[in-house]
Amino acid sequence: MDWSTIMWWVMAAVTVIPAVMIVLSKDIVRLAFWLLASLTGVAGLYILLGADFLGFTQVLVYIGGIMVLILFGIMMTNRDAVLMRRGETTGGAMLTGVVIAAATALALLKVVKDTKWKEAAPVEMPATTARVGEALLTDYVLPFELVSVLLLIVLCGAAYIARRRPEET
Amino acid sequence: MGPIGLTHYLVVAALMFALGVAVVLTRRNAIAVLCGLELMLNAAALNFVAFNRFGSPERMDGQVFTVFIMTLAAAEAATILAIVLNIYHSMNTVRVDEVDSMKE
Amino acid sequence: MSDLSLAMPVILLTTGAIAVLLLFSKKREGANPYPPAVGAATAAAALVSLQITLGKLTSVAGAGSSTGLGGFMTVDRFGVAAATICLVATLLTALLATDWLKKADANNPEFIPVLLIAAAGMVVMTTTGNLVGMFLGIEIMSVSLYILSAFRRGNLRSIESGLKYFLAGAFASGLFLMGIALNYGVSGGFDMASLATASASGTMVSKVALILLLCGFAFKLSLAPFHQWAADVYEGAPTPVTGFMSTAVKVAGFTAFTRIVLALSGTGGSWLSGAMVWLALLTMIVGNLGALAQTSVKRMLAYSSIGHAGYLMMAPIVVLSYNAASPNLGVESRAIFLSTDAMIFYLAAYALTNLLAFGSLAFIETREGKGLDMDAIGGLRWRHPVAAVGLLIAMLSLAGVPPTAGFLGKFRLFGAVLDRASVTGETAFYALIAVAVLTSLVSLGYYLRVIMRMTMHEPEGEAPVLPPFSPAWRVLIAVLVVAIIVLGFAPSFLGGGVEGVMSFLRTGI
Repeated sequence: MDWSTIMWWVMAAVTVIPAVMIVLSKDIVRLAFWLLASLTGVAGLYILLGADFLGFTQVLVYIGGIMVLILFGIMMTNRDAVLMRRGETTGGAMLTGVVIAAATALALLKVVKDTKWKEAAPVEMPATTARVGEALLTDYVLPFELVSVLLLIVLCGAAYIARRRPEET
Repeated sequence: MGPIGLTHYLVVAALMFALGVAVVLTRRNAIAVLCGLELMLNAAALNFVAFNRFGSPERMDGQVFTVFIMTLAAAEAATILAIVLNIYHSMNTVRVDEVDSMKE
Repeated sequence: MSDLSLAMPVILLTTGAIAVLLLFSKKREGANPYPPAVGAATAAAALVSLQITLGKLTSVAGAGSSTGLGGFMTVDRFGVAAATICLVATLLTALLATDWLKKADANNPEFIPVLLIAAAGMVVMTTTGNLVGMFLGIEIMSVSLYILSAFRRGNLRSIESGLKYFLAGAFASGLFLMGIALNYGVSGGFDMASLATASASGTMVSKVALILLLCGFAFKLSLAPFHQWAADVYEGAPTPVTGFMSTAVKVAGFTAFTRIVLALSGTGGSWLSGAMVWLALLTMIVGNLGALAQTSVKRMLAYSSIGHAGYLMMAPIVVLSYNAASPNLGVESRAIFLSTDAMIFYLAAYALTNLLAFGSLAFIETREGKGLDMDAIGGLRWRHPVAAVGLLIAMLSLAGVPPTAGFLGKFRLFGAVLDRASVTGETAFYALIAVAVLTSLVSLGYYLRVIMRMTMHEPEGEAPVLPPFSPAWRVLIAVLVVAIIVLGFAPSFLGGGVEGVMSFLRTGI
């Protein structure tokens, strides 16, 4: 086994095992840290796939941004630890959820196994940053601008909602 | 074990996606559900990048789409956390099943 | 046609959104009538630019559509008609919200930019020929709507409605995204043609991808059994937002879904139609029976909108039944044309009607400061005659009583399905028609109940002194009432035939 194969197995484990722990974890803070680990694993897999730009963006956006946001959310709502823990879910709802998830897993895995995917011989990927940037500013310029504006406005809206005020009426 | 190919990545993504579905469907804590949703989105994004790499490495479509997915995930996370904070301040709970004043 | 002119409506909407944010964000609280006015003007400008684009499109001989921006925008008549309805809904929502924004603790400049961005998402959804565009459009619309539903930040129900909408909507987006990913894997592309190639191959993976896409849409369009979130969300959201959600979202969603189905028709995707028939039947039954049991008018309208989604679902089923191997292809393409045309007309009629209903309700809510249960509208005829007329016409149109737009919409939609049933002779179509007609009869029960309440329960004692009507609001209601009745006669006014609604939409409502 060469080093990239070893790295792949390491990264796959770093991705999947924490994902399992997210399902099992009872504590919301641990759960958030398992998510952190899992998303780091995805960043590693991106880099192994030759998508270096995405790998670093994943670290910046998810680990630097979204994870911090989630941890802030937990921190600011964690005055009463009991309520932050797992609620009394009914057995039926639990079972339905698990059955649907298992069916999804089986269907996807069967599809992955049975399909004859188009698979080009692996080539060395050149650095992607310039190519992604070029695509974003040519073919994808309209969605790029639109999503940027969305982000701006959604953040304003979210800030508005987060500042709670009792209604006057 | 052989060399790492497309299928390997797809298996990882499939597992992640199903685990994300499990989290969303079984949890009642809004923040936990958000974590499950992030797993689902990341699984799909991993699929895009893997298909891009092995299917059509000369184009960047899958990777660009992943950039968009990340942006939208950030917007969604900001929205939901604002809502959760607001609810928490009025009810001191963030469990969805307790936030049920609507059912008469 | 230049790429810029294709994207013009979207550019205008985002520019308007940013302008409102920059100009009015200094004045935080208190009455500020300018943001809604700017919002309405922006929507109107986008509407005009859309019609100009369509005009260029039709002036080019033989050109049915125009594609640009890397395949991201595909402007054709179908998409432009749907986008027009969405923009009209945006315009009316901005106007109807003016009064409500002043009253509730929500007179904040953020409302209008978020509304405009949602509209931009809808325009992208309806006019894109690309799955990337469709996903981004859906997401842009949904994220904005989570915020709009939670916009009464001091009201717990409104906030909860945002939370529930998010949980349902984001899950649906996840499924939808995975569907696109699998389709990308087998076909290597994001355009509609790639969907058709994948479907034609008949492989398991393309079926799983389509099922995921169908589930995603079923959530977004609140088709049973994926509808549980709808009643709570519609009830809790601010009333003008509920009006917007129950109209524009349905228009954009059904248009996008029909675009996918159009790509699939004739490629052996007919196995999907079985599932779609069951969804449609279940949705009609659940929506209409659920509405019977409600005591809140807003909740009743939520279930009613589920029922209408069930009727609308019949159009994509007809489209999917296109048989490429048929000896008479003219009949087959006529079925597609009839059903999509009927769907657009139905959506236009339904959008105007529901906006009228929610506009009237928003008015009652702000004037009386009470909830919207059946008691709140008791004796409305005596207290608010204008609102009562608005609600009356809206209920008649929703129930499909002639001569309203709702009647003609049902007539044409059911007619298109019946036409298809007689051509193919499939029992599924007859079952759909039978259930649609029966549930329409059931729906009379709860729509008439509202009318009875308004007109028969004379309030006891002195009527309370109420704040005066705003003339602008009265004009708005009158315009909607006239529009609904005129649309009920539209074909005879506009030269008749299936071209009627298209030319009507092109001239602008």
